[in-house]
Amino acid sequence: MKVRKFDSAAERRNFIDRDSSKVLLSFFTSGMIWLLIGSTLAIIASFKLHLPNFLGDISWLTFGRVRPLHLNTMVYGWASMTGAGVALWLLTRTLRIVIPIQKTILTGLVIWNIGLTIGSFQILGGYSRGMEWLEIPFSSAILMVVGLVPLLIASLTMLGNRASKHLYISVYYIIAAFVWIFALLLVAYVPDFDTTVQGGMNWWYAHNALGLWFTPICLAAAYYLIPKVTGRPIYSYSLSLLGFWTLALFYNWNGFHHLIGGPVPTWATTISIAASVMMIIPVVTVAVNHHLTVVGVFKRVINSPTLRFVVFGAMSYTFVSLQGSLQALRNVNEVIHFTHYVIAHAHIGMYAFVTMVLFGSMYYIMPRITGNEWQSKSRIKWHFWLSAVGIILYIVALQIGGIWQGFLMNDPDIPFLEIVEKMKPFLESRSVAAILLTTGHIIFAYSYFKIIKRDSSEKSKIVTQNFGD
Amino acid sequence: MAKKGRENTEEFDDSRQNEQDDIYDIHQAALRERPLPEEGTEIGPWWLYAIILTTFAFGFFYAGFYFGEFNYQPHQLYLTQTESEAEIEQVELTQMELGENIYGRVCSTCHQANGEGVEGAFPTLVDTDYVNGNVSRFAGIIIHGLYGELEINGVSYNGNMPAWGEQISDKEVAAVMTYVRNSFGNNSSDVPIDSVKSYRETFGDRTAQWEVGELNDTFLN
Ligand code: HEC
Repeated sequence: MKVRKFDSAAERRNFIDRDSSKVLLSFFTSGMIWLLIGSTLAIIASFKLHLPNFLGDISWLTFGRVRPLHLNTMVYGWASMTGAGVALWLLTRTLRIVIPIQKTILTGLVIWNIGLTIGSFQILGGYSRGMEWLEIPFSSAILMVVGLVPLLIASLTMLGNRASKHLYISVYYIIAAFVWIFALLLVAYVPDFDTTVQGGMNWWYAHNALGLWFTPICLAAAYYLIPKVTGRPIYSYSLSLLGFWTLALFYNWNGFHHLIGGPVPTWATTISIAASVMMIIPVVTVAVNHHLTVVGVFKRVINSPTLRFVVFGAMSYTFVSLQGSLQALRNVNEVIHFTHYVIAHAHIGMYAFVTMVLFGSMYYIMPRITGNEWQSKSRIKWHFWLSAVGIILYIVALQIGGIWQGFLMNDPDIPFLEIVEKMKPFLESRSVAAILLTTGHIIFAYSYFKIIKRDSSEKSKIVTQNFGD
Repeated sequence: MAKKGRENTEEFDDSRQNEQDDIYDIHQAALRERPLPEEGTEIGPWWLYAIILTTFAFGFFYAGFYFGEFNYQPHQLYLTQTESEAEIEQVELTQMELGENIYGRVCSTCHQANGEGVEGAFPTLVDTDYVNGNVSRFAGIIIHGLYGELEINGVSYNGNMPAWGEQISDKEVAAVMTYVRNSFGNNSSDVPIDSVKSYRETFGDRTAQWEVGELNDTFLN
């Protein structure tokens, strides 16, 4: 590897960012396209819940296929691809090294996209595996795994050849995420589990995919971007490490709390519930660490487009995790299990936390890798507010409705259909939220395609600079 | 607008932006960045450690308290062995209660809850010789099933009743027979479990369903 000398840190950053540009833009563009596809599917699925006949005659577009595909495109398309891009960029910055094996990574991304596309058609055609988060059949999932391999190799190579002595906390999270996701996929696709054990594996995988793949990447982004934009150092390195290792220790036990009341041994669910409560430790540690970093400079957070999204995400992480610890307890779970509440909970995780952090990261990264600036301040504002209001509406409606639904369902004297009727207004609010969110995504996509197109006719307006972004 | 520490874009020569591979290519965003400040070394507020310890304590207490038994059996939590045995003894049913239970579960889908059946499809169980007559023949219908032409109270049937011998025990067969023979207006003797047992002994090897004629030839002659 060539060693380059730079006159200044800014020059080094500039060189590295420009070098990663092609790889990162490929990941972000793929992610963006899947985001738009996933949003469309979300709207279709949501409308079906209160208009059950809507597109009901076409088997390919029935709820049981559209909704899982929405999940898969968002998870393995939007969030994983964009997340992988953000993770790579964070590694280049924190390890001060360019991305190696770029051609292989790009080939991997192409294979990954092909796998996900085939998988999407398989789901729509009715060839789903029937397990949440693992609907995509082995034949196409294997392509996605192949696409991930270069990322693991690249990240370990970067770690080995790093030019910085100090390991910034984000590096821990990202390297761990790349290693963990392989362990998860291995268990999910290789052994042939059946019946109850399969259910256990299913939720072990799905919960960990969020906790050991998306969460570390997004926490890594928050840990890097908050001090970068505010100029304030992370409050405490030791707390960062404590947060990381306790996450590593407790998260992987959590999955079985999805099976409370199911035919699994009591001790297995009990341990999982205890570990879910223990998640308070990493979560509060990270929250305190972030809070004490931004305390006093909150105005900068509000003003910076990047941090608005990232801090919204970080706060959602705290909220969703504490909520998770609470709802794992048996007597709470008794009410909310099998209700709309849990769906909203999952969206606080995947949207209010993961997606918002990814948006924020892209607002920071794009000007650096394209050399262009965001063209419109109002588009950023609209995007933020549509996303924020949309997801808050979604959460409030479904969680209030869900708790009510839970109590009603626990009363055997109330006929099921009556409860279904009562849930209608909440489900309609969810569709309104879906439209708000999708509008935000379209605005963001427009900004995105504007910034990658080097448009010399339009004067480069710097809309983020004044906020330290 | 652009304040200290951050560059103002206007000062840069824009023509350089086109030289894609030049490492001096001006990249405003990267240049105006703040350096990443080195992390602090605080140990954190005391209450954070209080929360951590409390959580630990709760977690271990919860796991210990609700652990149950370490085996592969589901849901050992809410029933301990002794209690459940006691409960089972308490709910020992009478033959009529057990019979009602089995009837509701098995027979009523066809012969209806009131035993009157559906005319032309499922014959009535009220006041028929098959029910109130020969006990072995009745047991045979339940255990091995019945098909073929049949006339009950002037209505003819040609249906097919499946065999239930595999699904329900001798005790349950005797109970449901007793129940049918003493409900819906029927009033015949109770069926002891031994009658069912002796039927099973004689016809234990049989697998075929009874045909109506064959059934009557076997039991009435
Ligand atoms: C799947 C429907 C079905 C179920 C369940 C069923 N039967 Fe029948 N049963 C029939 C049919 C049909 C016939 C007439 C068979 C024929 O036409 O040869 C019949 C005939 C009979 C007869 C003789 C005719 C009569 O009305 O006296 C008796 C007795 C009888 N069933 C008792 C029972 C009892 C007791 C049970 C529960 C253990 C039971 N059946 C469950 C369908 C059913």
